[in-house]
Amino acid sequence: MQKRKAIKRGMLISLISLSLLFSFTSISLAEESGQMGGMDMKVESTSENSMSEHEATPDMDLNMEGMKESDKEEKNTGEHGEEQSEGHEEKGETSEGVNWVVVGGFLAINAMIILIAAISKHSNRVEPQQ
Amino acid sequence: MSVARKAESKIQNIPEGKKNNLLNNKVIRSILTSRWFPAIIQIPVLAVFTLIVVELIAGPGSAHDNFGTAGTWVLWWPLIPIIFVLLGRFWCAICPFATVSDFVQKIVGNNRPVPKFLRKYGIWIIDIFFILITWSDHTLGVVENPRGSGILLLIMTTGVIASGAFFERRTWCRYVCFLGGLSGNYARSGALELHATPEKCAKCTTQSCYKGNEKIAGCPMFEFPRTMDSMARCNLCANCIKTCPNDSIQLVTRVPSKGLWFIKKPKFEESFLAIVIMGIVFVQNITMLEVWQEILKALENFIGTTNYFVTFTITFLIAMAIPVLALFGSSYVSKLANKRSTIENFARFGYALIPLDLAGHIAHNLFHLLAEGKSVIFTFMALFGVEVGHGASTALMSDSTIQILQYVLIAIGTFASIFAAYKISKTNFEAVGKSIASFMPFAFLTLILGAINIYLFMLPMAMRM
Repeated sequence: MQKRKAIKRGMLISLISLSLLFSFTSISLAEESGQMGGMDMKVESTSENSMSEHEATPDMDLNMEGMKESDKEEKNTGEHGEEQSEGHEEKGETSEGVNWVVVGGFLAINAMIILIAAISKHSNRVEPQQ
Repeated sequence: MSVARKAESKIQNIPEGKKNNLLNNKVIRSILTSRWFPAIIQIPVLAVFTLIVVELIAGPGSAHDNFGTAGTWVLWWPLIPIIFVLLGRFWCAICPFATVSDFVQKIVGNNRPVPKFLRKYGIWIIDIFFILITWSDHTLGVVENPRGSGILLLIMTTGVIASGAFFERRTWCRYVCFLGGLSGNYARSGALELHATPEKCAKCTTQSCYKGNEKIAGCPMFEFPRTMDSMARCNLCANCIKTCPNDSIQLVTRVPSKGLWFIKKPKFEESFLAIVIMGIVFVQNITMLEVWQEILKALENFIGTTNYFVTFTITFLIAMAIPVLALFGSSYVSKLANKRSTIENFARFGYALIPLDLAGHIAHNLFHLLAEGKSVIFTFMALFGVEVGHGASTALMSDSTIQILQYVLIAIGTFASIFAAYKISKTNFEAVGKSIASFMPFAFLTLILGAINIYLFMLPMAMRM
């Protein structure tokens, strides 16, 4: 009985370790490939336009200067709607910093958690029967 | 029976009659006892949430064009504190994270008991998460960057999946979720109150409100309506209404903030969260001011670095510390009058600041809702390739109207906080004749905090159109 418990624990620990390893690897891979478009680290000093960068919140302002980068793009590329739909496809690749490695990492972690929980639930069911 | 005594007896689950009971209304009762409630709301909310997550992760990289950003930070975040005032924690009943947790729990849930450390330190964990998320939001740009917001939601989704997969009920919502902590604090002063009828509960042998029955689960928030003394954790999921065989549950309306007047077991960490929220609102306001750049430059010159992590962290710590220290100061002065410890006074009177927290939170976000509200429509239409309002204003109201609304809100919040402090003082110290002396330091503190809020809203905001 104790042996079985030890095996179960070991299995859980190894699965959790694997999932952590997997996620850290995916994140570091993403950083290496320079795809961390999402989290732009703000370590620059202040400048005239830095207000928008420093403003945070759970209160974002769509009218701030920093938020209007796309306006410039729009002016170059033409109509808002068209640009958007094209943008989606391009962004779907990599250009706008969609980090599929990180997204995949999260999906993998979630799948691992569900798998571990399912195994744990199953082994708990089997144990009382025995 | 005095008004105070009546309210106190209500908290102690002594009913004053059923005339106030919303469950006497057939429509409300049929909605709440329906087998489709709250699933009928959960499903569309989950669908919108999924759309928002996809949009944040894979939609336009600019916040200006992203429906996920507009939907989350221009619409949802400003509306959520208003929902807390009107409906308490009802959002938690339909929250997409909770829906995901419930679903995972149903399929692979191990239903283990909540770990002891979570039960013991849950509120501190929420406090720390809330502070960390606000800090990382400013330094890493979570909100202004759709990808950052998307990753935050993904992290939370992983958390709720883990919680639902291993632990019983809604462990995440009760003990870990930072929004749950915020909503719990705000819901205390909400306009709805659910409580049981003690005479009926005394005869109960099933306790199915907590344990559930063969059809309906027990309270997902680990609450026992019979002993529940505040609305901080009730999410109005109506499970207890459905399972109670004695029709003991009552749902009544009350004056907002009344729930703060008679808290029987005040907790230091809950009061600490209330004052931390005040600091967070200050941070949000200060970083939006035009003078923020000057403050930053002065700070950079003083400490000799231009590293934003360092300069912001110092500002953040100061903005957090000032209200906390001010509350400690008031508690110390109050201690001189009522001879209770500073910590006890802090814990007891900290709750009184919740209405001002709420007012500051709503007032601050009112700008985003009313000055940028149309961006939600513009970005939503853009999802279908329809260009609406290109180059047009996103404002629903003028800046001056919004500013007046902000002042009115702060005035109401300040009054409600002072009145709550008065009620708390009266309940606890009237017997020893120290109610006014105990109340005065907190009234003074609330007035100062209210004045600071008004002053910050008076200053020109750099982000205004």
